[in-house]
Amino acid sequence: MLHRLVLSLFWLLIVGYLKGQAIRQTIVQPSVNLSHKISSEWKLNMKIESRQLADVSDLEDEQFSGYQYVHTDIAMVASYKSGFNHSIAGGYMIRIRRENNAHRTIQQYAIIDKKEGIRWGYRLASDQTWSSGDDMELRLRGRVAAEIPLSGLEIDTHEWYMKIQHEYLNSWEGNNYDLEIRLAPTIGYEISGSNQIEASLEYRVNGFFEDRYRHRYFIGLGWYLRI
Amino acid sequence: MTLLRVPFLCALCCLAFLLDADTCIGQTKYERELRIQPNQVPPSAISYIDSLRSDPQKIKWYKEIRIEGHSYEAKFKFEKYKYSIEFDSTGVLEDVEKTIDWHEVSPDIQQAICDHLYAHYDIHKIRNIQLHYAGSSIRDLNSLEDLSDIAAYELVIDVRKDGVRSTRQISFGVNGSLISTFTIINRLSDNMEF
Repeated sequence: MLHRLVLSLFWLLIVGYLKGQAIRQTIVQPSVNLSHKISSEWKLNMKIESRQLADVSDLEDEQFSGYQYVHTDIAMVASYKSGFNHSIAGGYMIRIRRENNAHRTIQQYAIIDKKEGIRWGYRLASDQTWSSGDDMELRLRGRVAAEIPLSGLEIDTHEWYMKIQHEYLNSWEGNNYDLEIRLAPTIGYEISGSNQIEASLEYRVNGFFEDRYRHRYFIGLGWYLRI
Repeated sequence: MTLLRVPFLCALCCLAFLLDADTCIGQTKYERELRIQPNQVPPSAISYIDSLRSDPQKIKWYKEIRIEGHSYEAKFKFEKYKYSIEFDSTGVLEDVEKTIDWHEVSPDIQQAICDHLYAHYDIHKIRNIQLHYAGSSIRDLNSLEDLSDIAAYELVIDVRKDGVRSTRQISFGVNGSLISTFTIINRLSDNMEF
Protein backbone atom coordinates (compact mmCIF):
# COMPACT_ATOMS: atom_id res chain seq x y z
CA MET A 1 0.00 0.00 0.00
CA LEU A 2 2.82 2.37 0.92
CA HIS A 3 4.55 2.07 -2.40
CA ARG A 4 1.28 3.01 -4.12
CA LEU A 5 1.08 6.15 -2.03
CA VAL A 6 4.67 7.01 -2.83
CA LEU A 7 4.04 6.42 -6.53
CA SER A 8 0.90 8.56 -6.55
CA LEU A 9 2.75 11.43 -4.91
CA PHE A 10 5.66 11.01 -7.31
CA TRP A 11 3.13 11.31 -10.15
CA LEU A 12 1.83 14.56 -8.67
CA LEU A 13 5.37 15.82 -8.45
CA ILE A 14 5.96 15.09 -12.14
CA VAL A 15 2.71 16.81 -13.09
CA GLY A 16 3.87 19.81 -11.06
CA TYR A 17 7.12 20.02 -12.95
CA LEU A 18 5.41 19.57 -16.31
CA LYS A 19 3.16 22.46 -15.47
CA GLY A 20 6.34 24.50 -15.60
CA GLN A 21 5.31 27.18 -13.17
CA ALA A 22 6.12 26.64 -9.55
CA ILE A 23 7.57 28.04 -6.40
CA ARG A 24 10.05 25.86 -4.57
CA GLN A 25 11.00 26.39 -0.97
CA THR A 26 13.47 24.57 1.22
CA ILE A 27 12.66 24.87 4.90
CA VAL A 28 14.49 23.79 8.03
CA GLN A 29 12.12 22.92 10.86
CA PRO A 30 13.51 21.55 14.12
CA SER A 31 11.10 20.65 16.91
CA VAL A 32 11.02 19.49 20.50
CA ASN A 33 8.06 17.45 21.69
CA LEU A 34 7.68 16.95 25.44
CA SER A 35 4.92 14.85 26.97
CA HIS A 36 3.90 14.22 30.52
CA LYS A 37 1.60 11.41 31.57
CA ILE A 38 -0.89 12.68 34.11
CA SER A 39 -2.68 9.34 34.50
CA SER A 40 -3.03 6.13 32.47
CA GLU A 41 -5.60 7.98 30.33
CA TRP A 42 -4.52 11.63 30.29
CA LYS A 43 -1.33 13.15 29.02
CA LEU A 44 -0.10 16.63 28.22
CA ASN A 45 1.99 17.30 25.16
CA MET A 46 4.03 20.41 24.50
CA LYS A 47 5.60 21.08 21.14
CA ILE A 48 8.02 23.83 20.20
CA GLU A 49 8.79 24.09 16.52
CA SER A 50 10.82 26.70 14.72
CA ARG A 51 10.72 27.30 10.97
CA GLN A 52 13.48 28.83 8.88
CA LEU A 53 13.36 29.32 5.16
CA ALA A 54 16.67 28.12 3.80
CA ASP A 55 16.02 28.80 0.13
CA VAL A 56 13.22 30.04 -2.18
CA SER A 57 13.11 29.93 -5.92
CA ASP A 58 10.33 31.24 -8.10
CA LEU A 59 10.70 29.25 -11.28
CA GLU A 60 8.54 31.59 -13.31
CA ASP A 61 10.23 34.88 -12.38
CA GLU A 62 13.60 33.26 -11.74
CA GLN A 63 13.93 35.00 -8.41
CA PHE A 64 15.96 33.45 -5.64
CA SER A 65 16.40 34.34 -2.03
CA GLY A 66 18.37 32.93 0.87
CA TYR A 67 17.95 32.25 4.57
CA GLN A 68 15.02 33.80 6.42
CA TYR A 69 13.50 33.20 9.85
CA VAL A 70 9.75 32.47 9.50
CA HIS A 71 8.10 31.67 12.83
CA THR A 72 8.09 29.63 16.02
CA ASP A 73 5.12 27.53 17.10
CA ILE A 74 4.42 26.67 20.72
CA ALA A 75 1.57 24.19 21.20
CA MET A 76 0.03 22.58 24.26
CA VAL A 77 -2.30 19.63 23.69
CA ALA A 78 -4.18 17.52 26.25
CA SER A 79 -4.82 13.96 25.11
CA TYR A 80 -7.32 11.47 26.53
CA LYS A 81 -6.94 7.77 25.82
CA SER A 82 -10.50 6.94 24.83
CA GLY A 83 -9.76 3.28 24.11
CA PHE A 84 -6.93 0.76 24.16
CA ASN A 85 -5.49 2.05 20.90
CA HIS A 86 -7.22 5.36 20.23
CA SER A 87 -7.22 8.81 21.75
CA ILE A 88 -8.87 12.19 21.42
CA ALA A 89 -7.00 15.41 21.97
CA GLY A 90 -7.49 19.14 22.01
CA GLY A 91 -5.20 22.06 22.49
CA TYR A 92 -3.95 25.52 21.65
CA MET A 93 -1.02 26.80 19.65
CA ILE A 94 0.53 30.23 19.36
CA ARG A 95 2.53 31.07 16.25
CA ILE A 96 5.11 33.74 17.01
CA ARG A 97 5.94 35.78 13.93
CA ARG A 98 7.83 39.00 13.30
CA GLU A 99 4.78 41.01 12.30
CA ASN A 100 1.81 39.55 14.21
CA ASN A 101 1.10 36.39 16.13
CA ALA A 102 -1.46 33.77 15.15
CA HIS A 103 -3.57 31.65 17.47
CA ARG A 104 -4.80 28.15 16.70
CA THR A 105 -7.18 25.73 18.40
CA ILE A 106 -6.61 22.05 17.66
CA GLN A 107 -8.81 18.95 17.82
CA GLN A 108 -7.71 15.45 16.85
CA TYR A 109 -8.56 11.77 16.97
CA ALA A 110 -5.73 9.26 16.66
CA ILE A 111 -5.51 5.50 16.37
CA ILE A 112 -2.28 3.61 16.99
CA ASP A 113 -2.25 0.01 15.82
CA LYS A 114 0.50 -2.57 15.58
CA LYS A 115 0.53 -5.36 13.03
CA GLU A 116 3.37 -7.66 11.97
CA GLY A 117 5.99 -5.52 13.67
CA ILE A 118 4.81 -2.33 11.94
CA ARG A 119 3.19 0.35 14.06
CA TRP A 120 0.47 2.22 12.20
CA GLY A 121 -0.79 5.61 13.20
CA TYR A 122 -3.96 7.19 11.84
CA ARG A 123 -4.90 10.75 12.66
CA LEU A 124 -7.91 12.89 11.82
CA ALA A 125 -7.49 16.46 12.92
CA SER A 126 -9.05 19.87 12.55
CA ASP A 127 -7.82 23.30 13.56
CA GLN A 128 -8.86 26.92 13.42
CA THR A 129 -6.36 29.75 13.09
CA TRP A 130 -6.90 33.41 13.89
CA SER A 131 -4.63 36.34 13.28
CA SER A 132 -5.34 40.07 13.09
CA GLY A 133 -6.31 41.30 9.64
CA ASP A 134 -6.96 37.82 8.23
CA ASP A 135 -10.04 35.64 7.92
CA MET A 136 -10.17 32.62 10.17
CA GLU A 137 -8.52 29.62 8.53
CA LEU A 138 -10.17 26.23 9.01
CA ARG A 139 -8.19 23.09 8.25
CA LEU A 140 -9.26 19.47 8.10
CA ARG A 141 -6.55 16.87 7.76
CA GLY A 142 -6.09 13.10 7.59
CA ARG A 143 -2.76 11.36 8.09
CA VAL A 144 -1.47 7.82 7.98
CA ALA A 145 1.95 6.90 9.37
CA ALA A 146 3.89 3.65 9.43
CA GLU A 147 6.81 2.99 11.74
CA ILE A 148 9.06 0.14 10.70
CA PRO A 149 11.95 -1.33 12.72
CA LEU A 150 15.20 -1.55 10.77
CA SER A 151 16.37 -4.54 12.79
CA GLY A 152 14.15 -7.35 14.03
CA LEU A 153 10.44 -7.17 14.65
CA GLU A 154 10.50 -4.70 17.52
CA ILE A 155 12.08 -1.31 17.94
CA ASP A 156 14.32 -1.78 20.96
CA THR A 157 16.44 0.73 22.82
CA HIS A 158 19.41 1.96 20.78
CA GLU A 159 17.88 0.81 17.50
CA TRP A 160 17.09 2.68 14.31
CA TYR A 161 13.70 2.75 12.66
CA MET A 162 12.04 4.19 9.61
CA LYS A 163 8.80 6.14 9.57
CA ILE A 164 6.72 7.23 6.61
CA GLN A 165 3.91 9.75 6.96
CA HIS A 166 1.40 10.72 4.33
CA GLU A 167 -1.14 13.44 4.89
CA TYR A 168 -3.92 15.27 3.07
CA LEU A 169 -4.70 18.71 4.38
CA ASN A 170 -7.75 20.73 3.33
CA SER A 171 -7.94 24.38 4.25
CA TRP A 172 -10.57 27.07 3.90
CA GLU A 173 -9.88 30.76 4.41
CA GLY A 174 -12.61 33.18 3.46
CA ASN A 175 -13.79 31.99 0.03
CA ASN A 176 -10.56 30.21 -0.76
CA TYR A 177 -10.01 26.46 -0.59
CA ASP A 178 -6.64 24.77 -0.82
CA LEU A 179 -5.41 21.21 -0.68
CA GLU A 180 -1.94 20.29 0.47
CA ILE A 181 -0.42 16.82 0.16
CA ARG A 182 2.48 15.81 2.35
CA LEU A 183 4.88 12.91 2.34
CA ALA A 184 7.54 12.56 5.00
CA PRO A 185 10.07 9.74 5.00
CA THR A 186 11.81 9.79 8.37
CA ILE A 187 14.69 8.02 10.04
CA GLY A 188 14.47 7.66 13.80
CA TYR A 189 16.62 6.46 16.65
CA GLU A 190 15.21 4.98 19.85
CA ILE A 191 17.36 6.37 22.65
CA SER A 192 15.06 4.73 25.18
CA GLY A 193 11.39 3.70 25.33
CA SER A 194 10.49 7.31 26.18
CA ASN A 195 13.12 9.21 24.24
CA GLN A 196 13.41 9.34 20.45
CA ILE A 197 15.04 11.54 17.86
CA GLU A 198 13.98 11.73 14.24
CA ALA A 199 15.28 13.32 11.07
CA SER A 200 12.95 13.75 8.13
CA LEU A 201 12.84 15.08 4.61
CA GLU A 202 9.24 16.08 4.04
CA TYR A 203 7.75 17.05 0.72
CA ARG A 204 4.62 19.22 0.59
CA VAL A 205 2.75 20.33 -2.48
CA ASN A 206 -0.22 22.68 -2.75
CA GLY A 207 -1.69 25.20 -5.18
CA PHE A 208 -3.70 22.60 -7.12
CA PHE A 209 -6.47 25.13 -7.67
CA GLU A 210 -4.24 28.06 -8.50
CA ASP A 211 -2.22 28.87 -11.60
CA ARG A 212 0.93 27.29 -10.18
CA TYR A 213 2.05 24.79 -7.64
CA ARG A 214 4.08 25.42 -4.52
CA HIS A 215 6.61 22.70 -3.73
CA ARG A 216 8.10 22.76 -0.27
CA TYR A 217 10.86 20.58 1.13
CA PHE A 218 11.14 20.45 4.90
CA ILE A 219 14.28 19.26 6.61
CA GLY A 220 12.98 18.25 10.00
CA LEU A 221 14.75 17.28 13.18
CA GLY A 222 12.48 16.14 16.01
CA TRP A 223 13.12 15.17 19.59
CA TYR A 224 10.35 13.31 21.45
CA LEU A 225 10.73 12.97 25.19
CA ARG A 226 8.41 11.80 27.94
CA ILE A 227 9.09 13.63 31.20
CA MET B 1 13.55 33.17 19.84
CA THR B 2 16.87 32.87 18.12
CA LEU B 3 17.70 30.23 20.70
CA LEU B 4 15.29 27.90 18.91
CA ARG B 5 17.31 27.80 15.76
CA VAL B 6 19.20 24.84 14.42
CA PRO B 7 22.39 24.90 16.55
CA PHE B 8 20.36 25.03 19.73
CA LEU B 9 18.22 22.11 18.62
CA CYS B 10 21.31 20.10 17.79
CA ALA B 11 22.54 20.80 21.31
CA LEU B 12 19.19 19.66 22.68
CA CYS B 13 19.42 16.41 20.75
CA CYS B 14 22.86 15.80 22.23
CA LEU B 15 21.23 16.37 25.59
CA ALA B 16 18.69 13.71 24.66
CA PHE B 17 21.50 11.17 24.65
CA LEU B 18 22.68 12.41 28.02
CA LEU B 19 19.18 11.96 29.40
CA ASP B 20 19.11 8.38 28.24
CA ALA B 21 18.70 6.42 31.46
CA ASP B 22 20.45 3.35 30.11
CA THR B 23 23.53 5.35 29.26
CA CYS B 24 23.60 7.10 32.60
CA ILE B 25 23.16 4.24 35.00
CA GLY B 26 24.46 1.33 32.96
CA GLN B 27 22.53 -1.47 31.34
CA THR B 28 20.16 -3.34 33.60
CA LYS B 29 17.94 -4.90 30.93
CA TYR B 30 19.20 -6.01 27.58
CA GLU B 31 17.06 -7.91 25.13
CA ARG B 32 17.19 -7.37 21.45
CA GLU B 33 16.06 -9.12 18.31
CA LEU B 34 18.15 -8.87 15.17
CA ARG B 35 17.26 -10.06 11.69
CA ILE B 36 19.98 -12.42 10.44
CA GLN B 37 20.74 -14.45 7.33
CA PRO B 38 20.40 -18.27 7.27
CA ASN B 39 24.18 -18.68 7.02
CA GLN B 40 24.47 -17.14 10.50
CA VAL B 41 22.23 -19.83 12.01
CA PRO B 42 23.51 -23.19 13.40
CA PRO B 43 23.14 -25.83 10.61
CA SER B 44 21.16 -28.15 12.90
CA ALA B 45 18.47 -25.51 13.28
CA ILE B 46 18.26 -24.99 9.52
CA SER B 47 17.96 -28.71 8.82
CA TYR B 48 15.32 -29.11 11.52
CA ILE B 49 13.14 -26.40 9.99
CA ASP B 50 13.64 -27.86 6.50
CA SER B 51 12.55 -31.29 7.75
CA LEU B 52 9.32 -29.86 9.16
CA ARG B 53 8.17 -27.97 6.12
CA SER B 54 7.16 -29.07 2.71
CA ASP B 55 6.32 -25.65 1.24
CA PRO B 56 8.95 -23.23 -0.06
CA GLN B 57 7.71 -20.11 1.76
CA LYS B 58 10.31 -17.71 3.05
CA ILE B 59 11.66 -18.18 6.57
CA LYS B 60 12.82 -15.14 8.50
CA TRP B 61 15.62 -15.78 10.97
CA TYR B 62 16.24 -13.69 14.06
CA LYS B 63 18.91 -13.70 16.73
CA GLU B 64 17.61 -12.88 20.18
CA ILE B 65 20.29 -11.45 22.43
CA ARG B 66 19.87 -11.40 26.19
CA ILE B 67 22.22 -10.85 29.15
CA GLU B 68 22.39 -14.59 29.78
CA GLY B 69 23.14 -15.49 26.16
CA HIS B 70 21.48 -15.68 22.81
CA SER B 71 19.07 -17.87 20.87
CA TYR B 72 17.84 -18.22 17.30
CA GLU B 73 14.28 -17.91 16.11
CA ALA B 74 12.71 -18.92 12.81
CA LYS B 75 9.46 -17.19 11.86
CA PHE B 76 7.33 -18.35 8.98
CA LYS B 77 3.80 -18.98 7.82
CA PHE B 78 2.63 -22.52 7.20
CA GLU B 79 -0.82 -23.01 5.78
CA LYS B 80 -2.83 -20.31 7.54
CA TYR B 81 -0.81 -20.23 10.77
CA LYS B 82 2.20 -18.20 11.85
CA TYR B 83 4.94 -20.21 13.54
CA SER B 84 7.88 -19.16 15.63
CA ILE B 85 10.46 -21.86 16.42
CA GLU B 86 13.22 -21.10 18.90
CA PHE B 87 16.61 -22.79 19.20
CA ASP B 88 19.35 -22.28 21.76
CA SER B 89 22.78 -20.92 20.82
CA THR B 90 23.94 -24.36 19.67
CA GLY B 91 20.89 -25.05 17.51
CA VAL B 92 18.97 -27.30 19.92
CA LEU B 93 15.19 -26.87 19.69
CA GLU B 94 13.67 -25.07 22.70
CA ASP B 95 10.16 -23.94 21.89
CA VAL B 96 7.50 -23.90 19.18
CA GLU B 97 4.83 -21.18 19.07
CA LYS B 98 1.79 -21.11 16.82
CA THR B 99 -0.53 -18.12 16.49
CA ILE B 100 -4.21 -19.01 16.46
CA ASP B 101 -7.58 -17.27 16.59
CA TRP B 102 -9.72 -17.12 19.72
CA HIS B 103 -12.43 -19.33 18.18
CA GLU B 104 -9.84 -22.12 17.77
CA VAL B 105 -9.33 -22.35 21.53
CA SER B 106 -11.41 -25.16 23.01
CA PRO B 107 -14.59 -24.01 24.82
CA ASP B 108 -13.50 -25.21 28.28
CA ILE B 109 -10.18 -23.33 28.02
CA GLN B 110 -12.01 -20.27 26.67
CA GLN B 111 -14.26 -20.43 29.71
CA ALA B 112 -11.33 -20.72 32.15
CA ILE B 113 -9.50 -17.80 30.50
CA CYS B 114 -12.66 -15.66 30.49
CA ASP B 115 -13.32 -16.48 34.15
CA HIS B 116 -9.86 -15.21 35.03
CA LEU B 117 -10.12 -12.08 32.89
CA TYR B 118 -13.57 -11.10 34.16
CA ALA B 119 -12.49 -11.72 37.75
CA HIS B 120 -9.32 -9.62 37.54
CA TYR B 121 -10.01 -6.86 35.04
CA ASP B 122 -12.83 -4.42 34.33
CA ILE B 123 -12.33 -4.46 30.55
CA HIS B 124 -10.14 -6.65 28.35
CA LYS B 125 -9.35 -6.96 24.66
CA ILE B 126 -7.37 -9.91 23.35
CA ARG B 127 -4.73 -8.86 20.83
CA ASN B 128 -2.95 -12.12 20.14
CA ILE B 129 -3.03 -15.82 21.14
CA GLN B 130 -0.12 -18.23 20.80
CA LEU B 131 0.01 -21.91 21.55
CA HIS B 132 3.26 -23.06 23.12
CA TYR B 133 4.67 -26.50 22.49
CA ALA B 134 7.81 -27.49 24.38
CA GLY B 135 9.92 -30.39 25.67
CA SER B 136 9.11 -33.96 24.66
CA SER B 137 6.07 -32.99 22.59
CA ILE B 138 8.25 -31.38 19.92
CA ARG B 139 11.52 -33.31 20.26
CA ASP B 140 10.53 -36.07 17.87
CA LEU B 141 8.31 -33.95 15.70
CA ASN B 142 8.18 -34.87 12.01
CA SER B 143 5.60 -32.43 10.76
CA LEU B 144 3.94 -29.26 11.97
CA GLU B 145 0.57 -30.95 11.48
CA ASP B 146 1.56 -33.41 14.21
CA LEU B 147 1.84 -30.74 16.90
CA SER B 148 -0.45 -31.90 19.66
CA ASP B 149 0.77 -31.53 23.24
CA ILE B 150 0.13 -27.92 24.14
CA ALA B 151 2.31 -26.65 26.97
CA ALA B 152 0.66 -23.25 27.41
CA TYR B 153 -1.60 -20.58 25.95
CA GLU B 154 0.08 -17.20 25.81
CA LEU B 155 -2.18 -14.20 25.34
CA VAL B 156 -1.36 -10.55 24.79
CA ILE B 157 -4.26 -8.60 26.21
CA ASP B 158 -5.13 -4.93 26.67
CA VAL B 159 -6.76 -4.59 30.06
CA ARG B 160 -8.28 -1.93 32.27
CA LYS B 161 -8.50 -2.27 36.00
CA ASP B 162 -9.61 0.48 38.40
CA GLY B 163 -9.35 3.00 35.57
CA VAL B 164 -5.77 2.08 34.71
CA ARG B 165 -5.09 0.73 31.22
CA SER B 166 -2.17 -1.58 30.47
CA THR B 167 -1.06 -4.34 28.13
CA ARG B 168 -0.38 -7.74 29.70
CA GLN B 169 1.17 -10.97 28.53
CA ILE B 170 -0.74 -13.69 30.36
CA SER B 171 0.07 -17.41 30.15
CA PHE B 172 -2.42 -20.15 30.95
CA GLY B 173 -1.73 -23.87 31.36
CA VAL B 174 -3.40 -26.66 29.41
CA ASN B 175 -6.25 -26.79 31.93
CA GLY B 176 -6.72 -23.01 31.80
CA SER B 177 -4.91 -22.30 35.06
CA LEU B 178 -2.87 -19.11 35.31
CA ILE B 179 0.89 -19.58 34.85
CA SER B 180 2.24 -16.05 34.71
CA THR B 181 1.38 -12.41 34.07
CA PHE B 182 3.74 -9.74 32.77
CA THR B 183 3.06 -6.10 32.01
CA ILE B 184 4.26 -5.00 28.60
CA ILE B 185 5.69 -1.50 28.59
CA ASN B 186 4.45 0.28 25.48
CA ARG B 187 6.82 2.57 23.65
CA LEU B 188 6.28 6.28 23.39
CA SER B 189 3.72 6.93 20.64
CA ASP B 190 3.86 10.74 20.52
CA ASN B 191 5.77 10.62 17.24
CA MET B 192 2.75 8.89 15.69
CA GLU B 193 0.05 10.98 17.35
CA PHE B 194 1.27 14.59 17.17
